[in-house]
Amino acid sequence: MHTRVRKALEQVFDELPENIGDQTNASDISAWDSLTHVNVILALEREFGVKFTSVEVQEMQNVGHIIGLIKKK
Amino acid sequence: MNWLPKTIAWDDEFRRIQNEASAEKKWGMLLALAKHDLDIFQVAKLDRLLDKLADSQAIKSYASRHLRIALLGTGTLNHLAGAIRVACLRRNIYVDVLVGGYNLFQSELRDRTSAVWNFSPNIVLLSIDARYAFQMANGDVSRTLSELRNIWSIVQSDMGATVIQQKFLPIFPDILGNSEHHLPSSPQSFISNLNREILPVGDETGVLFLDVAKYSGVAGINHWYDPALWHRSKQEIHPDAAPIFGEYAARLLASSCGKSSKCLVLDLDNTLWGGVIGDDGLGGITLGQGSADGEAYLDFQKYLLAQRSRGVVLAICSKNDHQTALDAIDNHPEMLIRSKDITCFIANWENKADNLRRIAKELNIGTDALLFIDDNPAERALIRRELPEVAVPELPEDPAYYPDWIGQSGYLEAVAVTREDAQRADQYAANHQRVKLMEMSTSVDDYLQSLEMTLEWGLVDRTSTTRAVQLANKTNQFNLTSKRYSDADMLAMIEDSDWMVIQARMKDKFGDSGIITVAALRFDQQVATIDNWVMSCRVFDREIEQEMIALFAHVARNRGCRTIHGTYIPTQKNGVVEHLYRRMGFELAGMAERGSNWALSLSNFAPQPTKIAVMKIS
Repeated sequence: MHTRVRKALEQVFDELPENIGDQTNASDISAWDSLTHVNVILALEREFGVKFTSVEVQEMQNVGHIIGLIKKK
Repeated sequence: MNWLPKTIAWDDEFRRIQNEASAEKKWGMLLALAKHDLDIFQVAKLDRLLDKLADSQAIKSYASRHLRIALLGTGTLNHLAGAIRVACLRRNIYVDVLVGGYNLFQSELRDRTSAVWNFSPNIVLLSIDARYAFQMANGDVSRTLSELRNIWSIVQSDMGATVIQQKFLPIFPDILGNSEHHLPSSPQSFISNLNREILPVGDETGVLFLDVAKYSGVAGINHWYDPALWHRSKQEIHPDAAPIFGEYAARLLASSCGKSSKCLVLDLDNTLWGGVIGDDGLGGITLGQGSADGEAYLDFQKYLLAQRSRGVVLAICSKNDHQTALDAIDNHPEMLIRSKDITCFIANWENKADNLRRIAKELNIGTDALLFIDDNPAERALIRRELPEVAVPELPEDPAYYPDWIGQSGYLEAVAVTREDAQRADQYAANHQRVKLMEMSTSVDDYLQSLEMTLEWGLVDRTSTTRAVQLANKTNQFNLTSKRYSDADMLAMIEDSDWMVIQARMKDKFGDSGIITVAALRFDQQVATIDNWVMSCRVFDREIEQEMIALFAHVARNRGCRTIHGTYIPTQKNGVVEHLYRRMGFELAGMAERGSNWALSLSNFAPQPTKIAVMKIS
């Protein structure tokens, strides 16, 4: 799962921290702001073939939380 | 973007660009990468790389054109800026984009101290979302239009920039359905009425339209607009649609500055018909009614002839025996394209890159004006490698999709059709007859005499600005300063009494070549200055320049001038006029910033005699 999340994030960002774990969130990636967040969602949706609701997007906290959401779909 | 090849080894290519030392090669590699079918993430990455390299190295000096675009409007537009830059990179154009503040376009345009004014754009792209448009005048189309007209006028008259107005996305859901037009208050009807009625209003002042209303229909509006994204991030245009949005904007920009293909270079076997004429023979190739494939090839030929009749020149470049190929074209009963429609016909066994160079030379156009259509991927790869400036779209396996792909590829985009365009293909044919006459004539003088030339000149007025702007912007060879004029510039010049914009039409016994030269003169007391002067390459070597100089002298004397000043600024393509001013009797008056200044004293100027009859047409 984490590898696939990383793959999605690599599409959006030029540089990523070495380890992407459950606790990784927007504050760990300097280019992750409200504008690029839209692209992060798109990349994740495309990678996992899912669609997040607006509420889910608003409440996303970190990678662990995102993985939880995907697993429920 | 089917017509662009898919990317291969994106990451490797990215690394190679970063490791390349030469700025010129870097630009070439960026350009090559941009010519792929990129998704929004790749576009954004390429845009960031472009930005980084443009900051640190002089890569943008290798672009053929620089543009400054202010992207203004409503909603979130940032994701469109990179898409426009990358799509322009694809056309060898470097673009600086300023994205306006959120929903601030009205005040940004009216406040002359704003960042937008400070940026001094050549182009303002107005992207206004459908909801905002509906609220601008409570859903009243004509009042909305008059507000838009005021905004355009600020850009055109005060700022002196070109307006690109994005049409409005049909995002509103059905209220009635099929009979939506019966409901006066329907937002959906408002958008379709606005999109229709905006065209004549914009045409009056030379507004260019980016027709997202049409193009969102190609993929379906759901691929362009997602209400959830609108509510979440105020993006009316979905990021997935951003690359194609940028592409549509870039082709409009490119064609408005004269950068689109002028000549379709066509392969024959499996391109104009199915099968191989050399193996299958006249009876064996697939073309015409009776089979799905045969009808598809006919349809493609029809499409090509429609392009020809609006001014695109057709050429053939085929690996075939010359006579066999010619025989098929003129004697196959179902062929629609015949040799009379083809301006340059090459069928041989030589390298296609060499043949393309030959075609460009014979037509007297640059290889960057060629659009190469070939079903063979190896030939396409060869041309992309040898002549990267040639447009080379992918082709689908099924010929039924050929017209669609070529149409969607946008290489033939044009912003206006002038009378000259429609006659162009015939004019090239007349040129061939002139060449034959020249070969028969014993001397150049005899030849020129026998052409029975008439030069009809007049001033550019409001009805003829389109052709004048088009000629000034797409002429690269006989172009002394490479100054480009927008529609707004042209209108300003012809209405200013210190300026005179002269145009002239050439006629001879083979036909009317149309408006072939435009010159903008500026008068300041005793000095007339040639701001720029262009002439179509189709009429070189006919002594028209002598007549034009005599004409300049005539109008300058009438205004009490004693001297004519001219500047020559060299480019890669205008070597043909390097010595023009000297030949015309001008003296070198010093060096300009990037070229040389020339002066002609009118006190002892006498026109050089030519074989041309000159007439003034008012």
